[in-house]
Amino acid sequence: MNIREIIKGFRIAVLSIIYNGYPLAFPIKKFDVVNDRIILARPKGINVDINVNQRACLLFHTHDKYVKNIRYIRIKGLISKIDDNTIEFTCQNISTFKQGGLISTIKFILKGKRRARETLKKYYNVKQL
Amino acid sequence: MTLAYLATEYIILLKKLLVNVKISDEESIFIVDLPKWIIDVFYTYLTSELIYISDDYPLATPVTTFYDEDEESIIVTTSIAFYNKIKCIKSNPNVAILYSRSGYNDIDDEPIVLVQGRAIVHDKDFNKNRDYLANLLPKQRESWKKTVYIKMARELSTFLGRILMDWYMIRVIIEVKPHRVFAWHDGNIDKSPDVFEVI
Repeated sequence: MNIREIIKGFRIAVLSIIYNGYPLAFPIKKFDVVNDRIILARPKGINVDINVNQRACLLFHTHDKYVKNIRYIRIKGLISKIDDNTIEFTCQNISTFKQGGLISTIKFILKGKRRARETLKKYYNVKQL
Repeated sequence: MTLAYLATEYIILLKKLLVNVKISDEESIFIVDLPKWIIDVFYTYLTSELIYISDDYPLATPVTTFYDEDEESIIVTTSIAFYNKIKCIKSNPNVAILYSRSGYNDIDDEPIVLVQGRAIVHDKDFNKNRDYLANLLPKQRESWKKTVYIKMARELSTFLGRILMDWYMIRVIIEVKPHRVFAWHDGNIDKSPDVFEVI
């Protein structure tokens, strides 16, 4: 798992944490990868306690002006180190999505149909689309 | 003096009082009284990030939101196929929406707005949801975002679109009632934000 390769090309990382029972999120433009950990510039505008071992999420996403060619990487993880200027994020689980290409599009449609059918049956007692 | 007149005066007075109440440097206001540039962000940002809570983790996902001026709500919609998100939000309705991508709109500055709020999941009547969304889209302010989504709706309503994407068109509506808004007019999150408590 090469984190640097995975997030290559993204210009903004959205860091989310939970604070006082609500999600809190910031876009961060300065970030780097060191030893598979992501080092983010700590936003100074919101004065909240961020703690080591706090659960967090990083999202990287792009699309074009028609909201096509969507690509995103979502990483669940922990805040592993923090100081006045930086936040270190350790990755635990990565999910990715990339739109485009015939094969991916067919897979997306078939998976969507199957999942919709399953959800309707399981949660809404509806037998067909 | 009619009862309706008195009620109106009372609401106006209440609003004035609430606008002037400071809660630790934050103002309590109605969403319609948020600065215009924040409402513009709700209307024009092409995509944003919805953050919900799953097993004590915050999970962010890219979304498009619409603004319902009548209900003073931010509307997110998702296909029934992505049920995990819906399940998490039903279990914990405390969510946030981050508007941090100013591209493809007519706003000169690059504001960043974070909305924290409570989400209401509407999934009882999918036909009603479809009709609601069909009515909401034309009510959006003229913007590139509106153009893109009208185009997308037309593509999905073609014969091929209906055959391939029928599952995608079964929509759940997630209505977010803002509770607190953090806003950086110049997009510099190293500065303190304007914070608004919304009632």
